[in-house]
Amino acid sequence: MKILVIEDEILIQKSLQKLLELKGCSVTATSMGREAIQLIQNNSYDRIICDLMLQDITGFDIIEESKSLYSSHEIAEKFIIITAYSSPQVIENAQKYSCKILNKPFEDIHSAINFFIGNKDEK
Amino acid sequence: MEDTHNTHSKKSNALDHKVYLAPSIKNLPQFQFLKDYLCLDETEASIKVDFNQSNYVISNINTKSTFVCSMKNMTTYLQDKVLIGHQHFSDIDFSNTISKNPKPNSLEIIFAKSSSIQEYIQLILAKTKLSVFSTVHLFIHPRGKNMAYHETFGRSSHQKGLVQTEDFFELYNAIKKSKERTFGQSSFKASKYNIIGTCVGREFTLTNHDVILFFSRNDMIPMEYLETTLFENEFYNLVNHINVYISNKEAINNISIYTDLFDNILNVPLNKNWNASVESAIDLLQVETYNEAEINHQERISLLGDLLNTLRHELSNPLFGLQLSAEVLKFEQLDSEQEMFLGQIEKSIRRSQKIIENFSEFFSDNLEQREFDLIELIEEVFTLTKSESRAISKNLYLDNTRVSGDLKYSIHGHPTSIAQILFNLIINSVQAIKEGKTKDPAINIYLSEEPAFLNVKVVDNGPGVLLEHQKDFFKPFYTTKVDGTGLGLAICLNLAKKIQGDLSYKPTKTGSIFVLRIPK
Repeated sequence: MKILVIEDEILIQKSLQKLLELKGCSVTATSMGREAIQLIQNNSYDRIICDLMLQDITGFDIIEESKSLYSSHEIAEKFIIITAYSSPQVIENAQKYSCKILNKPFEDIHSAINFFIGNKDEK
Repeated sequence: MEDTHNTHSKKSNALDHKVYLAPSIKNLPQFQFLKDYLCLDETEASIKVDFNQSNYVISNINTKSTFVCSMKNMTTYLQDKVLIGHQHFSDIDFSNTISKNPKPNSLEIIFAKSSSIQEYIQLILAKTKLSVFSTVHLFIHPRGKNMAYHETFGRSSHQKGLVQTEDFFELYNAIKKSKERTFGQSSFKASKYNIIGTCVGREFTLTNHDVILFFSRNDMIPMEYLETTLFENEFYNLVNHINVYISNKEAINNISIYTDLFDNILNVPLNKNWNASVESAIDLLQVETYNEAEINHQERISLLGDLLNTLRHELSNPLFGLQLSAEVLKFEQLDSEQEMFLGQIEKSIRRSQKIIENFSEFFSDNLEQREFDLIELIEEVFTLTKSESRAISKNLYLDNTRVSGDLKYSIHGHPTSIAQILFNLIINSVQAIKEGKTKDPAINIYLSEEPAFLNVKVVDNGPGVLLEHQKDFFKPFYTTKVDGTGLGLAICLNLAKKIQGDLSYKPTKTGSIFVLRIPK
């Protein structure tokens, strides 16, 4: 499974990458939103785990950019938002794209990892 | 509101400008008169300043005594006779501010000293000519909400209820359309609102609320002209009290920092349009409504809340990174020592996460009641006071047994208020202990239950409180400390009352005991 992790807290990013790789995934990781857009345009990922507050742009900007490549159904399938600030606006925005949101810190790391690699409806 | 304006204009022939200064503040002598000069009524102390050509006539409305002086003397007079909190008038350039106003004829400054709206209304019903009325109905609709509060005040009763917004506005519009503003049982569906008999009412709007006020006779005798006039006269005072009441009812939001009361008040445009001046006076009142102490306290709490929120946001990400990387390390081949370290790292991370989470919860603006673990809360307060209370042993006892391990004690209540009270009490004890240079200092908290209450005793072995201070130390501004504000205990008591509890002091030979009673 090909996964892109977009997260600017390096320790979170590297650990997530490692944990997903230990589950047999092929993982690319970046902390920059613009670089993520490039990566999405040039590669095909099964899943994109995306932090919302990045240094350059927001996770929603990345999703918006991906609209030219993916159908709304695919966006809802591929993207999982991870955020520490799940305000009502964030939740509302995520619903617009039908994306799943996972709050940081994860309640249970193992089920979060399984959620990332498995069927999204599992959690 | 046109009628309101007209009525006031009629009334204001005698007094052109009425500026309300101090809102009704319980327990806080924000405005204190030297009793020798300005006799204080139980409820209100007022001075009126008339501008009579080049002289000013200052009358004490309560004692009817007057004093004629020049502007310069007036300032001196006020400086001599009026205290604001602990300060004299002296820092305020009264004369300058007044002279900015275009030829005001008269300025009445009212220093209201009454306490709650309930007490105020009951006082009106008991002592004044308005005693022909038996019941006061107050409907408050917070704009944007689909319910309105309905509070009923009798001579010795106070009931609270809710009405639907539609019903509220049905009533509101009925009064607005009515010329006389007096109603009989059949004028509107009075029984629907539990209003009995003939009554006189008014509707008005505040910044965020629509309000209806009714004085009801509770009998069928038609309202007399005098009675409606009496109501009209009291109405304006009541608007202020209601405004204060509403503001007190709600969490303090968007309160601008209280700066210079007199500067603000005297810059209220003094014109004859009641609406305009009262509107701005009401706006000001929203600021001045809270006594200074409460605002400072709330500011500190909300500042603490902001600080903790920032900390939460800034720390939770790196902590989460640590947590995840600890998870990664578990996949490595570790020897038992490394495993032990990793276990401890994880424990510390989880503890840090928990602390952050609890603190932001305990110091939120959330005044709602909810289930929480009292033991956990007390332990968090201990942690929060850790830096001040270093080298002081702190223990928690439940029914005289020391609490250890993961014991839980769930209660339903106001965690924020309780945490704040305990925080203040512990800091007080710490300061007393340090001042008294106590040997083997200790602060112990004892939890015990009564049928309807839960007692939280904060016991320290500091020097205790001298008998002469005991009767006053819950009063605001009362302090024995050099740099104390004298507000800590007053605020604690206030918070305790707010949650229908109580805070008391028990003298002891070996230190201090404060007992916080929380309703179960």
